[in-house]
Amino acid sequence: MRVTVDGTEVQVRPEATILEACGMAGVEIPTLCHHPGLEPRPSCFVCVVRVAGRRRLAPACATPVEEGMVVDASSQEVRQARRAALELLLSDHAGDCVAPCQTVCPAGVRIPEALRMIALGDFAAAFRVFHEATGLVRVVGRLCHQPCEQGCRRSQHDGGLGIRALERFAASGEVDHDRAAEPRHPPVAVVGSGATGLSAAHHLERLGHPVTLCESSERLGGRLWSRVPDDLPAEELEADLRGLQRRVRARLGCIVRGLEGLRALLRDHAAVLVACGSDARAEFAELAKTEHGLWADRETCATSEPGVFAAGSAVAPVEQVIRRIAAGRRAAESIHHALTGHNSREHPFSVHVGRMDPVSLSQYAAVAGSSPRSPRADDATATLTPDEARTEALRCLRCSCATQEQCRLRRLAIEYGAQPSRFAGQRRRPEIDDTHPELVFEPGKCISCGICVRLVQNDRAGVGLTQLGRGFDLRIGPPIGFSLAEALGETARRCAEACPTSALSLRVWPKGVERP
Amino acid sequence: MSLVEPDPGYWAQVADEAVARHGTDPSGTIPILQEIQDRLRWLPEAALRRVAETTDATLADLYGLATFYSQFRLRPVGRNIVSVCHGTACHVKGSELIEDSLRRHLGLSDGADTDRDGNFTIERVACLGCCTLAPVVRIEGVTYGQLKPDTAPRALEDFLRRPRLRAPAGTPAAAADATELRIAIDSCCAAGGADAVHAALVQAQRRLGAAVSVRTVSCTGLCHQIPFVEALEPNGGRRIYAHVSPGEAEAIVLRHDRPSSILSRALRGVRLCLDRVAGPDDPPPWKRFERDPQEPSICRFVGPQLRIATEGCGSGDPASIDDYERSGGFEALRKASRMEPDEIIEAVERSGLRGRGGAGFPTGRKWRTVRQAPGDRKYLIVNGDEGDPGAFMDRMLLESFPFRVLEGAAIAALAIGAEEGVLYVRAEYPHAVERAFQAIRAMEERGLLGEDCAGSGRAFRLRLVRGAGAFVCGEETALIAALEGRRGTPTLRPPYPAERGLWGRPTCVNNVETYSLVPWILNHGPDAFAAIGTEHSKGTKVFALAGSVRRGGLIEVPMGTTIRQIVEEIGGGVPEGRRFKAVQIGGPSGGCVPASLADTPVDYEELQKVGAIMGSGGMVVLDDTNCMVDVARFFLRFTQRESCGQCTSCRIGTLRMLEVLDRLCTGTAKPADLDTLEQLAAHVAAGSLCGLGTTAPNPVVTSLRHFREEYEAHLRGECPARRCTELIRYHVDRTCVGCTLCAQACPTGAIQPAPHQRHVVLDDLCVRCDACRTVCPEQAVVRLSPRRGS
Ligand SMILES: Cc1cc2nc3c(=O)[nH]c(=O)nc-3n(C[C@H](O)[C@H](O)[C@H](O)COP(=O)(O)O)c2cc1C
Ligand code: SF4
Ligand code: SF4
Ligand code: SF4
Ligand code: SF4
Ligand code: SF4
Ligand code: FES
Ligand code: FES
Ligand code: FES
Repeated sequence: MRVTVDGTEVQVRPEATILEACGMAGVEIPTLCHHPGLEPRPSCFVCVVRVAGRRRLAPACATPVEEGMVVDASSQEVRQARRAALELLLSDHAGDCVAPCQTVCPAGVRIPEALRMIALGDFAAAFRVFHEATGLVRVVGRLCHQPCEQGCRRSQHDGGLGIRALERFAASGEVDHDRAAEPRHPPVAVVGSGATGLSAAHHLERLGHPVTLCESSERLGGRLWSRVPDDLPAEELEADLRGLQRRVRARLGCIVRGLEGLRALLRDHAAVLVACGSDARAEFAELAKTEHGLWADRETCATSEPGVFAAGSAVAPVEQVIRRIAAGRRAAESIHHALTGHNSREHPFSVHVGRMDPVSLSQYAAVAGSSPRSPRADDATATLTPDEARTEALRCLRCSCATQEQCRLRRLAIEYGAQPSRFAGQRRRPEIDDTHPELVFEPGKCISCGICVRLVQNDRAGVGLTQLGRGFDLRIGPPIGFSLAEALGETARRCAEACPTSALSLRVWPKGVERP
Repeated sequence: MSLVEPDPGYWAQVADEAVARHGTDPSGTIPILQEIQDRLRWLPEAALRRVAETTDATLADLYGLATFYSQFRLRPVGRNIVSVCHGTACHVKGSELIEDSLRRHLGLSDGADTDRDGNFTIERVACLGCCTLAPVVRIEGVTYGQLKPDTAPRALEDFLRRPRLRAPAGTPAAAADATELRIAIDSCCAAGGADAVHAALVQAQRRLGAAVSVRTVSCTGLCHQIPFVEALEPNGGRRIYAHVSPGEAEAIVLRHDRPSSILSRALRGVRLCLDRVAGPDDPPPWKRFERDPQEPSICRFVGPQLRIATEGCGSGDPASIDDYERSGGFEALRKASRMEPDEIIEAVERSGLRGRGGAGFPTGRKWRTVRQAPGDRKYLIVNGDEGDPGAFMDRMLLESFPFRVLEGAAIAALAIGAEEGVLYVRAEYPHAVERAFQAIRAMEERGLLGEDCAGSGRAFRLRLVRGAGAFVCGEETALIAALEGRRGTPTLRPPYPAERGLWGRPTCVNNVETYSLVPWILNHGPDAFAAIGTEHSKGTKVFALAGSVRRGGLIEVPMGTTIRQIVEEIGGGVPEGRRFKAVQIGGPSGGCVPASLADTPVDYEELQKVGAIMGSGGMVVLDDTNCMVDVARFFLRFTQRESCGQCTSCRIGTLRMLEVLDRLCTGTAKPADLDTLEQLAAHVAAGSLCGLGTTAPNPVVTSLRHFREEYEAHLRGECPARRCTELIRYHVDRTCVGCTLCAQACPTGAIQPAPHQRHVVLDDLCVRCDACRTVCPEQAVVRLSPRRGS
């Protein structure tokens, strides 16, 4: 049969669906409720296409081809319909792609992941997660004003997680992390080695740029030294600096004077980042300025001089250490993007649960265990014992989606620019079922695609999952009175792998009973 | 409170018996659950487990079904179920206020549905099929109509108190020269009290030994006059009594007893009721209707009516196969049994008959597709699911003309070559189920159904299946899913059922009314049928006319009749003092035709042009006291609740639309909400799988098109019709004479009695039950909107 998709004519077998035809024509169609090998049961409607001569949009996954059919799979209309379907799904979605703690962390530490590593007892891995975000784990563990702990969902219940204490803990053990990355990209010079400059150097190096760190004084650290020893023991700062020095070339006593000095650096560097704090405004007076400091584009961090970038207090005074670190990270990512065209910034897309109702909150808390916040987490100088740390980490409510990266709903939402809040309204409750040995079921994230139901049905493995109720209240779940394990039987893992969201996911946190 | 003593052993036994009766294959699953529920009033887990053990169904299947169909309950209930109708007609007549009042009376807090003593459980239902008596409440089979908020709770007391009036068995044979007293007692008439009148007539006749015969007849469609008795005198004279009460029965019997001159003095108490037709008088607080009623008729209700589907209304006994046969019944079937299938199909094609279930697909063409589809096994389905919450045509046809429907179906079966068929009837219609069941039996006994259908040499076995409470099961693929024992979830078409339907075989699905027109076509010839109506819409259409008209009822008109003729000539216009505003046609899939377009004829295409649809035949007249936004919200709420939930835009999009309408009706909407509403409407219509979703936005879209200014008024916090309770406040104006009636009626003490003084409404206490305004003899209680300001 001949079918035309977006102008390309393809020959397909007569029983084919439009989806197949599109595949042959090289046109990618988004799908959620479609699963290879299962009879199509169209429900999500993100695969819609326009078939010439038909009144309504057709779900590609289930509509059989017809001879001479002309399919439009990419027009504005079709894309808008898909976006609307995604937005409707997101409007009834009770999950956080990115946990609230991580959302508020200025440096973007992947907190739940680090906590999970601690909970699993892999402290070195936890360290790597913390380290990746700042390069200054010990400094942050002492000096961060911990906005994440206020943002932590558990703070609405019985005290937020002791995140900063856990970060300190992670840095307290034997760690070997400070290996230099493969230099793949053009070199970059960083002027100034305070929190911003150090963090920028760390990220640039991590992204594959050889870094020259120019410091006018005789030691790295800049203003961080003003917190020593009251808030920060010198050995801790030195340990962080030593780590970084293994990866970047530090030029101590190197004074970069005015525009001339910057241009000189640009001769053997592809870019220069000015991160020397509030001195910058006077030092580089030839550059465009604002009343607070150098002028730099908010998005790209570029200054008025080509190749020169600026960040942190060089642009406007930044008080908190963690915000200076965050500014360094942003600048590094911008420079990386300017030099390579590659975007390394994590996409900020996330559905947000927002404030959780007390019933759901207690349910999640019950899964995470009822231990109270460790009192020692509030002592800024204490270091938790490994047992204390694991107990504390296990309190985490696992708000982030563990399978964020694989989640098809999120991926499509990003691709189609769907806004979770466009059709905001009544929404299902966040819920968690942690009873299964291998899986975790979060019905709040279920989009009722029915893939799991059909898989179990085909296998006739357990008592079966079922659709309960109808209309907006339609839910997927075990028959009333049965456990998830009884319902899914042997098909459990396949269900989790096939689930287009994280509603059914393989367990990545230790189960409650295995808790220390 | 313990409503039931748990008795798992007994529950399992009930399950076993149900399984034994309905078998273990999937088609028996829903009937099994229905039988268990019929007996236990709910579905205990022990019973479900037993069913899962002994049949092909898994527990997952059973819970899927039990939570899909609204009839099933997974919790025990009170002794008596109070079904509060929230169908269209009842809604526009204030059913929410009725429910509020009942809940207040029973002391039910939000979420609770059973009172403390376990006496009553309140249940919301969508249309009891007695729309002309709206607002309606049914308590365990006894229907109470025309309720008012203040007096509605008395229905509960009445129910607990009342003895059940039953007609003594066996109607006495009447002498040939005696007067025949005819009374219809189908569902809504019974609800209107006709069955009590019938019982009283029979008793009076017995007691007096009077020489009159009392007969039950088919629905007359005169729903606005029930209980309605027609006396046919031996000399051909005819008298009509409308609004008869049981107390008047004796007088009627006496009057028509032969030696009438002698007794004429006794007649003084009899009121001839024709003069009462124009308007209701001295209404009792409500009308009570007994079980198993039949109804008043449509027949002589003047105006441009033409009866094909309802031919002979008000005459024969609807339950009597003899009466049907005497009036020419089954001639068409006998004729068909001697015709070639293609001849039958040709005739139907030539008649121009189109489906009456909503979409108007040419019936002949559908039959031909099924006939020509490959395969030796084909099925026929009679779709009597009638879910439109303001329509009761199919119920009336099944109750009053069951044989005609079945005759039509049998003819279709011969034409398409189906040996098996299913009549699917909505669960909320117990009397229609019973009547149709008996009719099938009677036809089998006469060889009109069964192994040799009407001597054709071909078999046609028809069985009856009860629905289990899901509007979407009227959709043909969902209906098929239900028959196969699955959740009533529609599937993508094509393939159409005509190609691949029940159990994967070619299946002909037609509406009850469609079949009922077929015998006439064969009897009078397709050309006679095609001569009626418009170019593309042939024959007649039955409508349930309800809402704000003086004479509501079931009517049948030729296609092409205008809406204005229906409302004004047949319906007698809106009640005095009201202004005709619009007609809602086609229920939740349809739209409003504004008064300015009332000259639109009844015609598939013409109605579509103005944004409405023919639909199945619900026609609700709206006047200036009906709020268009509220009506749109009503339908959206209905479709939203009835959505099967599989499609994203129908499951979530309809709720989002409803939320916008809720905001409008509560004065919290923003101007941008109207855009959102329109965008959502477009998405839902384009991105849904079945007709429920694709048409769900219609009521909103048409009212936005014709009544946009009402939406805009709501944005300003004003409800022009003074309906939306959050946008109005009650106020007593200067004409108050201080009679204190309102204060007595007010359930919350928001009006304090102050004899001879002007009364005052305390807004904070007022629950907007409307009781004060209804009782005020001076019309001094008014509703003001916007609520704030002035
Ligand atoms: C949501 C929905 C509900 C429906 N309900 C009914 C119904 O109650 N009765 C009916 O005859 N058709 C109903 N239909 C239409 C049927 O799908 C089908 O078209 C009809 O039974 C065909 O019969 P006809 O050709 O005689 O009209 C409904 C359709 C939809 C989409
Ligand atoms: S399931 Fe997907 S869309 Fe939902 S919260 Fe998780 S990552 Fe985000
Ligand atoms: S509970 Fe865990 S994931 Fe959730 S906000 Fe707190 S630390 Fe972050
Ligand atoms: S849990 Fe099942 S129905 Fe829900 S999204 Fe995952 S696969 Fe689909
Ligand atoms: S449109 Fe609505 S009722 Fe129809 S299949 Fe989709 S969800 Fe179900
Ligand atoms: S019922 Fe009417 S007239 Fe009587 S007191 Fe109330 S407002 Fe006044
Ligand atoms: S409807 Fe086609 S993938 Fe969901
Ligand atoms: S009986 Fe209430 S709307 Fe039909
Ligand atoms: S008079 Fe009762 S249904 Fe018509």
